[in-house]
Amino acid sequence: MATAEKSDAKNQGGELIGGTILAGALYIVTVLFVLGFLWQSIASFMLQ
Amino acid sequence: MGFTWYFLGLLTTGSAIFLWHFSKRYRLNWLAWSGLTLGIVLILFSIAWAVGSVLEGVPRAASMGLLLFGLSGIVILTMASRYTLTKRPEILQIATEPALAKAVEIDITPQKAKPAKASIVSPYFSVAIRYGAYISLIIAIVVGLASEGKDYEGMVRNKFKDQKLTKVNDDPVVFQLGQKGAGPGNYVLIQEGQGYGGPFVLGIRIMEDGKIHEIIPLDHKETPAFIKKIEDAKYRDRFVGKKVSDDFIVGMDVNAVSGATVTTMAAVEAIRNGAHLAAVKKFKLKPKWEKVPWKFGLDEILILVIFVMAFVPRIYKEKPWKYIYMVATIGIVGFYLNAAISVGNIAGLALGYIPGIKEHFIWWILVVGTVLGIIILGKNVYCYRICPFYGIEYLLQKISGMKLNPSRTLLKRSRSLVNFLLWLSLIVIFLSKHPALGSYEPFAMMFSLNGVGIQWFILPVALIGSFFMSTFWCRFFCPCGHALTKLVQFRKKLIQIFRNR
Repeated sequence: MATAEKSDAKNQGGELIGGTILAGALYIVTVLFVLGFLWQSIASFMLQ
Repeated sequence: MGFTWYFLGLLTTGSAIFLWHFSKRYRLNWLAWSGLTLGIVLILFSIAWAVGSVLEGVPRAASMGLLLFGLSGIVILTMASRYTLTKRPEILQIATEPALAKAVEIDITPQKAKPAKASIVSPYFSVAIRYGAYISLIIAIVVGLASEGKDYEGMVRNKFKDQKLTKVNDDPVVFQLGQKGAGPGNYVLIQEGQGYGGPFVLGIRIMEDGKIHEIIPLDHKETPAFIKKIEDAKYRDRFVGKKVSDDFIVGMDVNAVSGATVTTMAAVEAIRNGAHLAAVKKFKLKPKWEKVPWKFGLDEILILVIFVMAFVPRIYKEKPWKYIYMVATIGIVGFYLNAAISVGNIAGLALGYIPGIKEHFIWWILVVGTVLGIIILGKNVYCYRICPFYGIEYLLQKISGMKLNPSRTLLKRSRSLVNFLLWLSLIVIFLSKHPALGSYEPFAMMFSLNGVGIQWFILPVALIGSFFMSTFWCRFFCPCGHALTKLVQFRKKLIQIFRNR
């Protein structure tokens, strides 16, 4: 395999992993905020 | 705050290293440099702004900062990166040491497919969880509906702590402030209304002169954004001094509050009913007021046209109609009427929170129309067509051109998680009988900039997520969309069962 192709493959692999991590992080942060909101609702309902 | 500065320092250093590497690889011109730098500065600024605002106890400002500076920073950074990658020439790297290249060689030979791991959870267990969830929802509805009725006396007493309170009528419930029969009439008549998100209770204070002296909000389960709009507009004050025999018709002798039309209409309906009851029963007046006409104006026509168009594939599939339709849904259903459906609307149906069709035709078109569309045709016409938030997501994704995805493991778990979130939100709604408590969608925040506490942070992350991932909110989180999908699946199953028989 030519060096340039190897380098490209490596970069694509890197971008892919970076994208997956970013997407995963955004997903988890959103889950935490949604759970936080529902927890806030449960707490306000219980305290009524 | 010290940690924030430390974290920002790390991010700034990381960004500088990224820029340096990027400039080594591509010939950056002034446009690329300014785009990349501005994007990074805006993102860093938004983080500092958001943390500062949270520490000051202003989550709304934090969210707005993340949206205005953070999202625009991400958009600028992405566009500058795309411009550099596609338009700017790459600086040729001289391959010096082949040994190094060998060291980073990636094995791209197709790997043998690994045998699928046996699921830890047995199929019986997952079926038990599913049916357990359905049964618990039914129990929650029953418990919620059977829970104790409204304590009107407690509500009124809470507002008039220093005064004596006597109940003088049961239907409608009327309290007299002070001793019965003592002094001029000072009555509080109780009326309930059905808002967009849920019911509310109003006290109408009527004196012996047959005029309204005060409208007292006693309790509500309405979407907080709409309540805030009404309070900001000092809407209650508009009724002070009105005679109980007045018409109380929106558009005739009272106006609606823009952006909270359904709630104001419901409030006017409750006040009208209460005032007219007092006029007939207490003041022995003959009903001479105007009959309430059907509310069918431009707003209703626009919504009806949008709803009907959702059944025409050419409109929502083919260009340029697709884009025109999308802009119309964002503008009209979203920003103009703020009428996006939430899981609270669907759950409200189960709780019997159904506003009158005469005055809330928009609610009926969108909520009842969507549910009937599913029941009769088996089609969910709301999601990916009428939903204004989908339009926003689509446009954001078009700007970024990126379609990232979380890892496969996370994708697999996401299906169960969204079902869990839907279940939890429904349980909260059914037990509290308060649709707004479980509706975690950021629609009201997006289209009217109103939210409560932590809800403020859901909007920026949902928008940023949609920028990087295709239909991020719809796919992974939307409880309304998933509830509608469940209805479609339920209908299919029912039809299958009947066909098999």
